[in-house]
Amino acid sequence: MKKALSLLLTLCLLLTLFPAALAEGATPMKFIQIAGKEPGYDAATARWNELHPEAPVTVDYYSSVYEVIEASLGIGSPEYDIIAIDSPKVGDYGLKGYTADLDPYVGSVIDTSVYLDSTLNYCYYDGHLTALPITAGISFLYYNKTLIEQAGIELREITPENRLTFEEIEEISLKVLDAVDPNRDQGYSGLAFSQANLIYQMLQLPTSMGEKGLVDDQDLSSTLHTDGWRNAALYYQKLIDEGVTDPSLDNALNFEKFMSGKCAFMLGTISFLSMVSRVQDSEIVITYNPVFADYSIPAAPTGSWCVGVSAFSQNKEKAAEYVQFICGGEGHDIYIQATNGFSAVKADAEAMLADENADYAMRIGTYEVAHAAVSRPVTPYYTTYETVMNEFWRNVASGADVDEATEAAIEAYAIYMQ
Amino acid sequence: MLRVKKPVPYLMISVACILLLVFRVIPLCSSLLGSIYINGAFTWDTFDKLFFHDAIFWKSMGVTLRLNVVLIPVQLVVSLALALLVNHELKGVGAFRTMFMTPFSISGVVNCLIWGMLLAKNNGVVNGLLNSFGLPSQGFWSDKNQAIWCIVAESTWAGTGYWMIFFLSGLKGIDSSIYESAALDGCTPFRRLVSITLPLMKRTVLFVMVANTTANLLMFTPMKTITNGGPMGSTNTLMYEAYKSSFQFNKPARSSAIVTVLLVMIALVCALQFFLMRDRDEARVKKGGAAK
Repeated sequence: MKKALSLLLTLCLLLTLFPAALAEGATPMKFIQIAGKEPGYDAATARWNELHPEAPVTVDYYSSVYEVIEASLGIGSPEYDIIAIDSPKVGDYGLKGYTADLDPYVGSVIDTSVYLDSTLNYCYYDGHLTALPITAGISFLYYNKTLIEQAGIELREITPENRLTFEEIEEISLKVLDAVDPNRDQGYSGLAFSQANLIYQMLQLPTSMGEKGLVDDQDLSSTLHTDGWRNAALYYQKLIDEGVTDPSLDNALNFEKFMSGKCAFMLGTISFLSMVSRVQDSEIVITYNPVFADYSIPAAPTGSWCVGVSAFSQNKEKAAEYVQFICGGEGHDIYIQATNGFSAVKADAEAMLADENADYAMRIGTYEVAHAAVSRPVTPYYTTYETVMNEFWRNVASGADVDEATEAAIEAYAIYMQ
Repeated sequence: MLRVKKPVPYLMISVACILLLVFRVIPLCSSLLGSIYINGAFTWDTFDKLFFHDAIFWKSMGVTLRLNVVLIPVQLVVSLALALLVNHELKGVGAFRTMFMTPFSISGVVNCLIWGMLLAKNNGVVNGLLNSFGLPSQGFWSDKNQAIWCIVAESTWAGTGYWMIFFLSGLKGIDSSIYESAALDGCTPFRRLVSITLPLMKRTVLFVMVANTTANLLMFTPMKTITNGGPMGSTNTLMYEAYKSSFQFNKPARSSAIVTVLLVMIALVCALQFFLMRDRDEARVKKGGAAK
């Protein structure tokens, strides 16, 4: 009996060693990604790991992903093989030497022909491919039909040719607030910018007035000393002063407030689509981006999240193969299905536009990508630009004099560009 | 060869020394070097740009000084006052000691989030209270003239309990018979404080001053969590500017230079504190004179 038990235990021990023997020789890779995208990347990566046990990938998520990338790649650490890159940062990371040149892998593990040209354009630095796009990003106007009807307002039909204006949004928001929160003490808002005070989204205001996001990447004065930028900042301040917009809420809180039914409108990115009912007659409705009445320029900032290979990776070719898998291969299909995002792959976009039975929100998004998208500044100094401009919008939101905030931003940019 | 007669004590302290070396001394030296050794050569360019071509650095210096000139004395006075208050053996005094200490036991980030909500311009608790009394809302964190004083309030609330413990410990070390003698001689409470308590607590006061100065000059959490250095740079201290330089603008040399300036400031302030708080009689005796 004792001998039999010993034999059984020995067999069990040997069995536990067996998987380790199978994994021998595996070259694990690490992927750094922004938090909030777990469903898509986890599902796609799980499939990759099934197909490629010799090169399993683990994904690390950080809300402060930019700063972690700076800390890690700034010292040349080989810890991460694959990195998330927001499209405006492609040039920035290329300039700093963080990203590997993917040109040697085009034609072997990478196929650039599958991607939309408008999204692939972001992915080059100094003529070299350094990333691949995983999505095509755009913003929508979301509104709470029930809340607006509670104020006795019936919104007119909104079409691409007859969009809602920012001025109308302000007027409707005030009527809604007067109806549901007359004393302004119940925490209701009229319009939420899902990425409040961040240039990533606030750019929509000045570009909707015909201005550029960045005219000269060495000096901000030619960009900010324009009527459009000034008026955009004044409009934003007015919304805050009237109580229409609460600038103190971050991305997650703004979305939660809107979804809790305490906000009439939200300008939000497509990342909320998967969390919002897509049925036309639901409480939450998705529609085309608004315009300013005097300009009628639909100008939703667009960009793609991209994925690149770290210049310090010890396994660049396999990492490039993973990047192609997740951006344009089977992993991409899994990612898009899990996140309900907009594909950066040509075939997917063409199929969407051709499908009359496709979801209305997806059709609106695809239309906006094609007709209302304005690209964010593509500059190698995007990190500096973004940090300075975020501070500009925060100053505007805090009630600072717009001209003072403008001069402070111009001065700061000049100093940090030294 | 050096023979150590009793190696065990050295072994005991070696762990702390190694940790200090790895996490304090080496990073400090690396930072100092990083400000002057760039691209394989020694250069003063970083400091030249910082001192003569960087208005943001000087604004940050002004913010840092303005904040600390108020914050350090306020924290010292309030924590000493609290220690004097709870230094009485009364029923229930333990509960007060716990209450005063509790803010320090909460994580700094959580403290800042709570104060962020309390003093929020829109829907903040304090503004709600003000409005209920018919008073107008205040900008608080959104007002460039008020934000820095909000940080003083938050830091004082969070930190005084901690410093109170040191002062309380110092008070407990004073022999009660001295107070009894003073009472017999008709000494007033104020006189007792100034002529007996404070002089006998000199070393404790010096320690708290030095530690408090260092902690406040390096303050970072409220700026990162609540204000992001704003509005309009009104809370953009040198420490936060150094952080932005390194992690947002990728200018590690500038960041190292700012940290070096901070280190020099801390050293100078602490040296001044040591000088002012020196024991004059001891110094005189050491010089060969007689104590007065």
